[in-house]
Amino acid sequence: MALLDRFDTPGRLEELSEDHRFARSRRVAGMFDEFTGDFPQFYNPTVEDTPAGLTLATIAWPAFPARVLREKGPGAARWELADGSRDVQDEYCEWSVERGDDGKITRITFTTEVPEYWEHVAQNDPDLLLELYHQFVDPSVDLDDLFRVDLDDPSDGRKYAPRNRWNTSTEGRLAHLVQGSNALKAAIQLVAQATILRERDDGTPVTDRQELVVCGGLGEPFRNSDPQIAEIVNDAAGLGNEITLLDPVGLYLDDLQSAGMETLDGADAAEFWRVERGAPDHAVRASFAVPEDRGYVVGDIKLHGRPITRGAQVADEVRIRIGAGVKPGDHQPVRRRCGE
Amino acid sequence: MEDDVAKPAIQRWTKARLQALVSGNSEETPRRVLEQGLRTSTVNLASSNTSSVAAVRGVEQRVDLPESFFVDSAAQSGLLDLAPPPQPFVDSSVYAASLRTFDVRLTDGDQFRRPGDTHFAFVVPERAFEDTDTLRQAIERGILSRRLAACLLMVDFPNPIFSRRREQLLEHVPPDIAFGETDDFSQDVAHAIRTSATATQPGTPEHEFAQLWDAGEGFKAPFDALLQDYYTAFAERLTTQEGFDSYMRLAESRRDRVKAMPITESPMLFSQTNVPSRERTMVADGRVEEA
Repeated sequence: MALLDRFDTPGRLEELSEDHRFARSRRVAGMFDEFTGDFPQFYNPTVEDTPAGLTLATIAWPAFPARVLREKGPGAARWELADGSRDVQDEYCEWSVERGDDGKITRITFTTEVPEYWEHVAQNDPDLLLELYHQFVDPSVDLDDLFRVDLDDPSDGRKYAPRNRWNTSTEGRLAHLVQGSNALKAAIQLVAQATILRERDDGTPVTDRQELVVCGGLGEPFRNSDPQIAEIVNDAAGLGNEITLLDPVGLYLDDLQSAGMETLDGADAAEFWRVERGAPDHAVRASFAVPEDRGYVVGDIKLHGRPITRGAQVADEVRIRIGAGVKPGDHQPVRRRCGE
Repeated sequence: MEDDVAKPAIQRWTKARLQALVSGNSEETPRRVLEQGLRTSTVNLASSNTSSVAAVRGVEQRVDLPESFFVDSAAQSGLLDLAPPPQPFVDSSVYAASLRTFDVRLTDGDQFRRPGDTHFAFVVPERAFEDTDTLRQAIERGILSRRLAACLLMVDFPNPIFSRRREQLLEHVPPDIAFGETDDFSQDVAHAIRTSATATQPGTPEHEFAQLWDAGEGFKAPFDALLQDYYTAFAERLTTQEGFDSYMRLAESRRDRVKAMPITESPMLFSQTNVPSRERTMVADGRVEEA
């Protein structure tokens, strides 16, 4: 049995100073502590012991937004809609697209980096913030572009603006997640709340994942992510276990599934997937681009028989995951009615 | 698994098949390509993204329905760039009432019986991916012209699978038809159908094909107009109980066909209903006709 010393950075990023890493860990611990009181089967691993033989539950889902699929059906219209706004990219993954003069896609950048991390960087190390924007977004970013003054409370000083002019578009290079539901705290809250078992008014248990999400107020029933997370956590909680999120706590990109891609030179398109930020097994930012010496671009690659004309086509082939840990427990969970 | 293993494997297999066919190193005949377009010898299954329980309990107000139930969108829109259908929806209350009307239940035919539909609502057969991919690769290789593919698929388009009318067109394709230079194969097939005796008789699939063929290379606009009228018609019918009930009956007819196929492995593949088993077809005004 052991306590976790501290929460590591998402993807085990090493750019923060030691002091700021500890500060960031305390910030994440605070997010856990907001929920551990109300949800006894959810625990903070820096406060409660975690056994060495913790059961690991990797929860994964497609990056393409299920809500768009449901609204637009399986045809090409869904790709256009998903590429049109970061606000519909709600599966804890957002992407942006770069094109050449001929309109063909040259690079697609995916991120699962939560805004809370970047807010922490902005608050503690603005120079690093600017350096990151220069390296990953655009060399011409000015620090003033990234901050705003709260007009309601000017005395509060400047605050980092996650949705700054460099990080709102689906074109170019994005910085981190901005869609309203794509936040670390939202994921932590979902896992905590999903430890509650639910029943209908007639006393029958709620086990259907979409019904569970609506019944428990656990997010959006037609996202890929929320019902998947809720169902797995709820199943584990039903056996009396305790649940936590695995360190490093975050949302991660799996490798690109390239089996349906046809390249001009017969190369495996997975070679063109490059992790830009995060450890190899904990990628939080990756891009898909063909090296210049190959003589063709992403837009020349076919995916399931169609040329790649939208970033969303590739999002179909990307999986997002979050790691949960299940600690054996002897809780006797009581089912609650919907809405309670 | 589907996108990462099955589909790419089918694409590679189809590529090898067509390569062998074109180079004359195959036991298959060119007619086989048309059979995959016009006959339904296998299917895939599609369903709503909405769980049946969530709809019946009123947790969700609408049930999305698979568009491939109404039209062969993967081929017509995906390959031929014809007008895509809007995502079809039905009110959950209408769907739930239909489940009661038709006594929908899951049963293994033995001990297990549970009222209601499959987990995801409205499971129906759709054109198999292998058939769509054969069409795609045949078009890309120039074996089939886009015009011929469009005209063939637009015959009886409200019935994307199990269309007797489209299958009837195969009667005019000689078993020994061969690939010629450039567009010869497509022209030969079109000529054989258009010059058949029945092509002059209104109401026959050959006549329907001939009229579609007369649209020429600028077929997209008139075909899109036909499709749009149909999309409007079935969307309106989906707003009524009577309209959706008729689609439940049509779905059951198609499931009955699948139950007779070797690919059916379990009585739990589909839910069971009290809908009498008989042939039903969709017509272009969105109505369902019973045989």
